[in-house]
Amino acid sequence: MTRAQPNRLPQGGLINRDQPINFMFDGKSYQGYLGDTLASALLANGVKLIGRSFKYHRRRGIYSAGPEEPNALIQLRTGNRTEPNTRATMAEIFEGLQTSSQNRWPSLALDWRAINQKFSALMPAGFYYKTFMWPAKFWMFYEKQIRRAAGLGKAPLESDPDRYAFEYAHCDLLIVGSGPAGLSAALAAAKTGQTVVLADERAELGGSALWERNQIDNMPASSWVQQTLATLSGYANVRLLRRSTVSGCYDHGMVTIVERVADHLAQPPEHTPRQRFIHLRTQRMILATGSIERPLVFADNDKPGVMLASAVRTYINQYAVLPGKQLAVFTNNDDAYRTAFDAKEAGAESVTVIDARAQTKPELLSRAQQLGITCIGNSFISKVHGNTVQAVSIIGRANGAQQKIACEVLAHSGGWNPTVHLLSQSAGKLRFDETLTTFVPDTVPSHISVAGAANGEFTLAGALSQGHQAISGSSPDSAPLANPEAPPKIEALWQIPKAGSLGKRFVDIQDDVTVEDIELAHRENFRSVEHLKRYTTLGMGTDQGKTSNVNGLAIMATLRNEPIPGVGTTTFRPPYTPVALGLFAGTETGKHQTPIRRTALHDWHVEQQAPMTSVGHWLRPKTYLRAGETYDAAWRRENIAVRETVGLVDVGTLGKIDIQGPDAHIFIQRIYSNNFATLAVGKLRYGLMLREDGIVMDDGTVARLSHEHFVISTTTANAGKVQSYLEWLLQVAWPELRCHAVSVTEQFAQFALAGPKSREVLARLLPEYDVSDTALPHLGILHAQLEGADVIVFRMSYSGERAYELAIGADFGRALWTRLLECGAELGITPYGTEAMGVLRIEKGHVAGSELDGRTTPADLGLAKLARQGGGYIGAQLLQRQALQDPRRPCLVGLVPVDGKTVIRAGSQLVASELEAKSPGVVAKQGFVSCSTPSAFLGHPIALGFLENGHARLGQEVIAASPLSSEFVRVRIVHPVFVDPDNTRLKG
Amino acid sequence: MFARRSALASSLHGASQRFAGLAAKVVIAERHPLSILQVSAFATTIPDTEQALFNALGLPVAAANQFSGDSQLSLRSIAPGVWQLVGEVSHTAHAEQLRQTLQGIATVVDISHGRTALQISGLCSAKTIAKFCGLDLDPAKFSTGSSTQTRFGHIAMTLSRLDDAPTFEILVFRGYAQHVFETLVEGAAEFGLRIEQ
Repeated sequence: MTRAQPNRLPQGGLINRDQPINFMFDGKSYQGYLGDTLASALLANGVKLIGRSFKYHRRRGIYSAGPEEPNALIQLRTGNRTEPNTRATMAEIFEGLQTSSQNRWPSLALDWRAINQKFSALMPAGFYYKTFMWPAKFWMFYEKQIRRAAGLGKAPLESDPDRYAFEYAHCDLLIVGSGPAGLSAALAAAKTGQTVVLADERAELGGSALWERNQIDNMPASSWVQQTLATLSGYANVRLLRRSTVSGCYDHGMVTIVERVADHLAQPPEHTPRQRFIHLRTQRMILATGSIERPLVFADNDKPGVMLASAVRTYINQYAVLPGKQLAVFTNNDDAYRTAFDAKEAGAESVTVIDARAQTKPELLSRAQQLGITCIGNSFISKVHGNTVQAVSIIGRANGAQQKIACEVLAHSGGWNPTVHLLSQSAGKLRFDETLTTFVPDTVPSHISVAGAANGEFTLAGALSQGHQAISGSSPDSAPLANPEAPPKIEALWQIPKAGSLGKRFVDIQDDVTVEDIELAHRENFRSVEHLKRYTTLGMGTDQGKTSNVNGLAIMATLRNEPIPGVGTTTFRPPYTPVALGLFAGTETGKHQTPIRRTALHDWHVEQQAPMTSVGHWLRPKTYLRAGETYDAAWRRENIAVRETVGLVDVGTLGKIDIQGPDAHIFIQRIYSNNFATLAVGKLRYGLMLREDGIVMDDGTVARLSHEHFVISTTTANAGKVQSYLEWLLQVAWPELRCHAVSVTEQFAQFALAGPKSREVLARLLPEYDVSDTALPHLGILHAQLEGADVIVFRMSYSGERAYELAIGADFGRALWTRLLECGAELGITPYGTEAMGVLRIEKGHVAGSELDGRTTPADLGLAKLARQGGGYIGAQLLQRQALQDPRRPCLVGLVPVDGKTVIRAGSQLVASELEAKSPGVVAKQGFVSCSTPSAFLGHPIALGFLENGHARLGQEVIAASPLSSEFVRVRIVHPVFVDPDNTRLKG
Repeated sequence: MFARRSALASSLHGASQRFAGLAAKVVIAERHPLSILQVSAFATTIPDTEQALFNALGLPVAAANQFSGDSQLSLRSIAPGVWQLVGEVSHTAHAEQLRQTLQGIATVVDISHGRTALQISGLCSAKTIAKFCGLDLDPAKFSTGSSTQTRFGHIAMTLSRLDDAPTFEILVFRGYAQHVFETLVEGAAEFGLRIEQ
């Protein structure tokens, strides 16, 4: 029986052995420790097979120990918290965690789609551009199959139950990365008193100091880390952010940080967000982001057991996991020897180093010899044996000598690439360093410094020093110290030739892109780095090419016979690693997706259980249902009640703007097209506001409260727009006008009291006031006091019935509404909603948003008289343009169905005949239907629309055609005012 | 007499029951009823208006994005030539008197009913507001006496720091009051919250 965690070393590591954790992978139970990632725990348990590759479904194992992981992509958790494509190397295990492998059916061990490998010759890069073409009608079939085959994990089908929060933060200095360079910088910065944020994507701060066996300040590096963190925690000006990825750099020092607050827990504590999206504005930034190891490109370099060299020693040193007893290390550089030394000292049975270079530093060779490590120089790996690594074949470069050695793990290293994503996002430039064989920062924006391995400084002493020196004013003497060393040597080696024709040399392991694919792209003339990327998909996986970009473009450079810088690099874009969509939504989900704006009467509407509708952010009641009433019956009752007795509607959403000042009357004259110079104090008038181009922008009423004081109304939808526009006019166009426009939409609750009995209700409300038609005629204003509150009564009508609008301070709104209902109870007062309100205004032929659609002029609306002669208002000049004066323009008409009962669909086009409407090809459009409604009061449907030459065509019939819904209704052209065209009801 | 009914009348009680946190690091309360007058000078009358305000109120006009006075009555300089006079005392008489004093040099608009005022105090009050507002709320950058137009999420707000406790005040359109209140409460919950009525 195999013991639990067979690969776990008996001591060492930074895991907490006192806290075992049980978790599941593919239905099997395993144990790890607190501090393990899913990858380290699985490796400890000897799990080699972790997934199947994207295209070829090849067996894959854990490859790295960091965010660059291309293979170990896991479906993490189940149910509504399941997350696909999660890197096992970054996921922290917790008790009860359930995980499964992806992209395999029926099982990881036996995956049917592995058959793709047999057809791999037919599936090179870009094969889908050349296939699935014929027959064309099969395309939707192909598409479904491709869709099923594509992708790796499965997206959750249930709503995300977690909360996400934003945070806006500010600091003087952001340090990205808490390795030696970052911590060194933080120590120096803390003392300066500036506000410092230190962010690291991992749970534990310390970076490479946690997984390299080094000494800093004469103590083990991990101890130095603990001591440094304790020191930093004592500074109030330093904020340490763990589990926090700096995901993107934007303009002016804006940086986004994804803080994984609770991903390492089974669920977030109550009220705690799962993740926090920090928008940090920083004055300066130090990028201490380290570097990512580069693979070597050799045949079958993707098999389970092939791992990055630094990852192997990370598992040994940080997690106390030895992934195999027999290891081979294949390298073109000095650095990988550390893995060999660490593995042998941790108890590996055998370690063999295969060095591609002819020369190796004698110190490394002698140390290897001391430890009993075999070193084979000037050689390549020619073959990897086994479904998972069992052995490797080695071939001498000079003499072709061959040998085979048994091993379970093949650690390899092709060098290191500085992690420069954030620098590139900040428009920093890179250059290719021939000695280091990699891209290093070249020009760096003035608010950024790069330190340590991210800057191409691959020694520990150098990293500590650079971090320290990045803080201006730091004395070099106080930097943390490590033993000076020479930079590790490396020999450029972009690909290893295949022995024979078998074996795939992967460049992008996640997207299954091989050297042969790059050669194909080159042959087919996709030779620029941008084309290389998109044609082969190299670098387009969730890892964004972290382990493949440089090898890929170096191979293309070789094919193009050019130096590497000539090929260039693609653009790094945020986010650095994948981000949950919920994070971007933050709190704006569910009912908070858009802000809700409520009138002063909102609670009353809700208490009546009125169905509500959204008008922009506002919620408005559609109708008020009585017990047992259908929606339809309700609005019909309201429609009739307003025409026959009296109704009450909440119109608090309309824009109201207070315009005051000695020049207010001048301003009013300029912004409206009709004449307000003759508007007396205590009177109000309907007005049109035009755009500069002569098109009607909005309509409303202007009430003159005093010589210098006006209150205007706007439509609900345009309130904000008109307010902004008026402010712009007063601040920019006419700053000399002594006048202000202040929004009072929210200041007043406003109701319309409408119907033949409205005056009686008003009289009961305000018994001390004269509300007769003489004292308060149509378009008059009354100022009153009621129960200590000011009430303004405007006599105006939207419904076409005798009506009054009452405005009162919003806090008093509900009290006034209640009082009105009491006063009108005996008279049958009926609260009504937007449904009935809409029917009433269409019956009266009042234009509204559906007619003021941004294409209509005053004349189109039948309101030519409101565009006064002599100009002097916005829009006057351009309104004179020929096309806007053309009498043949479609103008406002009323429409009724000839059969008396068919509802006309709004948006229908008006055409001559049904036959024409149904014929293919272009049909002459004579107009369109702007709004439509059944009418309880009239007993038949009605509509408003615009028709060419409409005023001369009353009585004629046309077709209202809606081909999309296959509706063709014969309609008759009538006058647009269906009720009370002489305004007798209105004026009483 | 009609009583003034706050826009939060139906939300406050329920929320205060839910969040009666003992270890509350955020305390939220509504300031209601308030009197709020917006005074706007004309392009050429700003100095005259400032003088007139001082004469009428005894409050000096503060520098931009600051206020003078205290919680009883404060004069906030929220835009060039624009001030908001915010007070607990009813200023109906004030409004008319002020309008006459400023006749010809500035306009006065009563927006007392048009705003909801929320007071947020406690150790984590700044952190809570920082979830929804991009301003730097560090006491060195936004000190006591600051008052400025900014945003709460997508909603316009006037944010002030009333004292060093710290106590902040948020003024928003009353129509958005419940939305802002609910959002604020959810944001403060993770720090421990108490709502005072």
